[in-house]
Amino acid sequence: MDHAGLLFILTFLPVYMLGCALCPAKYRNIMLMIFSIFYIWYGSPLFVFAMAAAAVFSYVSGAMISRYRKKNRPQALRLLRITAGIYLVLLFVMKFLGPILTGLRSMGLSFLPDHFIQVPPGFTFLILACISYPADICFNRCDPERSAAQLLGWILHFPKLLCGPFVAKKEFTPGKDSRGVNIYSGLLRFAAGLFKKTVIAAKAYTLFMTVSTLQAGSSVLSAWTGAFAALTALYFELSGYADMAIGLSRMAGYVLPEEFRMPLASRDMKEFTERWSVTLQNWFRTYVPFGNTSVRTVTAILLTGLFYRPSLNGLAWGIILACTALLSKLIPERIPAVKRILLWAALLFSSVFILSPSFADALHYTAMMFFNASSFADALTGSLVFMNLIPAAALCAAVIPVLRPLFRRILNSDAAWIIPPAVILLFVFAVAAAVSGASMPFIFLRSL
Amino acid sequence: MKKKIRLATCVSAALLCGSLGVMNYYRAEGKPSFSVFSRASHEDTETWTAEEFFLKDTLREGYAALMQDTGSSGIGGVYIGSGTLIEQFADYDPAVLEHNISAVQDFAKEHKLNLVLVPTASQTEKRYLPLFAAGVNEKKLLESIREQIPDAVFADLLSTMASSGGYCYRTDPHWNASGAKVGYEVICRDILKHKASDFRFQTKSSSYRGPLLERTGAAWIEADEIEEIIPAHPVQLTVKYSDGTVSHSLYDENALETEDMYGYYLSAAEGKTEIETSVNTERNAVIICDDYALILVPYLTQEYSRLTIVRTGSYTGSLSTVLKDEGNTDIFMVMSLKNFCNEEIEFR
Repeated sequence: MDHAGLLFILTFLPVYMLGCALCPAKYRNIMLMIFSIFYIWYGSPLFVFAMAAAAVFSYVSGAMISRYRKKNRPQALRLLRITAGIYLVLLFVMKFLGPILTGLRSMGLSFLPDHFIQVPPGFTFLILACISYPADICFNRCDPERSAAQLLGWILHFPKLLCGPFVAKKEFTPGKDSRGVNIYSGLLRFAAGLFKKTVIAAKAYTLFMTVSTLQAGSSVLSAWTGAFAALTALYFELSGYADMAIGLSRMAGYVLPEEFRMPLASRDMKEFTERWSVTLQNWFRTYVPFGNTSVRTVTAILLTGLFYRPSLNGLAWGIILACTALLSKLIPERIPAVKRILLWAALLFSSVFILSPSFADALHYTAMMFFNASSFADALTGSLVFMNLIPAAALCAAVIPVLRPLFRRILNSDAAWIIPPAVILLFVFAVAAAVSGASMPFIFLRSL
Repeated sequence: MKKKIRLATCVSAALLCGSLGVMNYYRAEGKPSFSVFSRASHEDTETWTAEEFFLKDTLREGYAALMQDTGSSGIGGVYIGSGTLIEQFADYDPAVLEHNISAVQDFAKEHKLNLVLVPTASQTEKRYLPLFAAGVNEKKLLESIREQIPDAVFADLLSTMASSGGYCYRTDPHWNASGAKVGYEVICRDILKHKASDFRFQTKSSSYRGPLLERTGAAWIEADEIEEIIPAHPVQLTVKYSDGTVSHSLYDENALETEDMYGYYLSAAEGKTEIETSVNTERNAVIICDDYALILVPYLTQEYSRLTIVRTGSYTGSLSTVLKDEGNTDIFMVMSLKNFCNEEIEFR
């Protein structure tokens, strides 16, 4: 179920809000688990048992590893390797085997099967949680959970399943705010994510696709405008979903970590990697245990790209950013402008690659940005910019972070009365966009 | 104060979403069957919720109005102009265009071809477009086509139609009776080299809500008129459609009861249609065309004793057999410029 989808907003969300408002604190985890099971069942009915079984297996392996971690460490490590191996094989088969076989079929190996198991939404983050739990126990980062329900509640926690943010078991604890404050602040955060997704990302993505599908070719300037739109669409789509997840968790009293910390305001690639998909990259840095810091950073970027989209496009996203990270280290600190230009060039090209329908389309588009264009500029460029002022303004606001402090000031001032009508209008807009066919499903819904 | 705002926000949002969800469940029609373990059934429910939403028309209208007011690039490939909807012509397939130019040039070498390419509404209704709307430069494109097909005689519609407006329907991408009349006058001026006959219009329906309305949801746009084109000197005629039906009128009154009222003109004839008229000019024409020509035919019946209309997309017979028929004096190709650039033409 898509967090920005009509069914989610009109049925799941109000019932969930009601549940959060009425459920006593001690039953909150049970309530969340019930909602999570319903959420997973709705997205992939047949996988609900498989996903629950994966969570139970994690509980059992965690308990066994905890028994050996002090008195027989090699045995604990062996058990961890077996557990992680099983999950990784499962992840490979479900998420990566299909794209690999499709690629091989397109290279002429037509005898390979063309129908694969469809990855259920949320499967990736479920596996990340299932691997991290026994690993944390093995390396004494957390103690085994006594209550299976508590563990299931964390692993199956539905807000984070679609695209994060990832939260480690020991950090998954309820906040201290009152129920009313939680629901209100959670709702505002959800609404902010919905706004990013339906108003900004959808429009920016349409703009990018308009340019990329121009059969007669685009001008150089239009192609660059489209690349900026691709970056806007990617950032606001992912951060919008992260905001919605954080908001939904907050409603139930849980505080998820931030996934995007104003990454577009970064001054160089190093800073960017610390601000973009923070929890996902941290997971890779923590649980993919080889190499020094630089190697881990590069590995984390590459794997993040593949997790966004398990294809050549995802790999290209990772390679572009990883190479830029390495190149950026060679540039002296005294010329920050060059570092920033390099970062933005990498962001634009990588966004084109990850959002283009295919790798060939991405190459064609990149060529249009330089030489393979119909002209340098045309009337379309101005039209694209001026008819998409909202995404353009949003991109500027993401680079120069002014909106968040402004929003905080409104919340704490007499002008806070505008919040209820603004939230209502936003929900009406989201519904109107959905029934007008103007909304789009999550870009990576099939691959996350 | 803060507590009240918190309560108002949460209660109003939950009530709004919940009540819309419940009302939609009870008021929308055609609920899909639901299966607990079928993902497809869940996806059907999601689709049904969006497509059969009980306030769909109102919400779509509001969304379209908002898009217009925020200077949006349009909805579903359609610009919401001032009082009219204009289909975007922002792109074409260069390979298709090249193929068509080559095919038409080869054809024009063997036959004396008159080429009538109808500019789109985004060119003729430019004044109604949103401020920063952009599209293909049709003037440049037409000049390029003209240069590459030197053996055909062109009717220069664009320069005449661009000077004024109101030549296209507000809710349908086709040209209307006035637009086709200008087309006829230009054909008389550039090809037939004589003065055009007089016509008047009689409104047959004022409630045509064309396909662009459905694509945008801009319900406030005024419905179009469907007009009968009445010549100053009426002629007798017999229309023989490809399915064997024979009629003595160019108009299909039944189409006025349907959604596609443009079918009023020649019943949206497909394949080959033959029209015998009582006009005694001893001139017969073959018109190779898309559906843009159907509204032009009433004007041409004043000029020809026989008209043979061949639709490029649907005629499966041999065009050369049609052309070999004795007595054909003129051959026209009438197409929308957009279709000419995007739909492959085959001369069999």
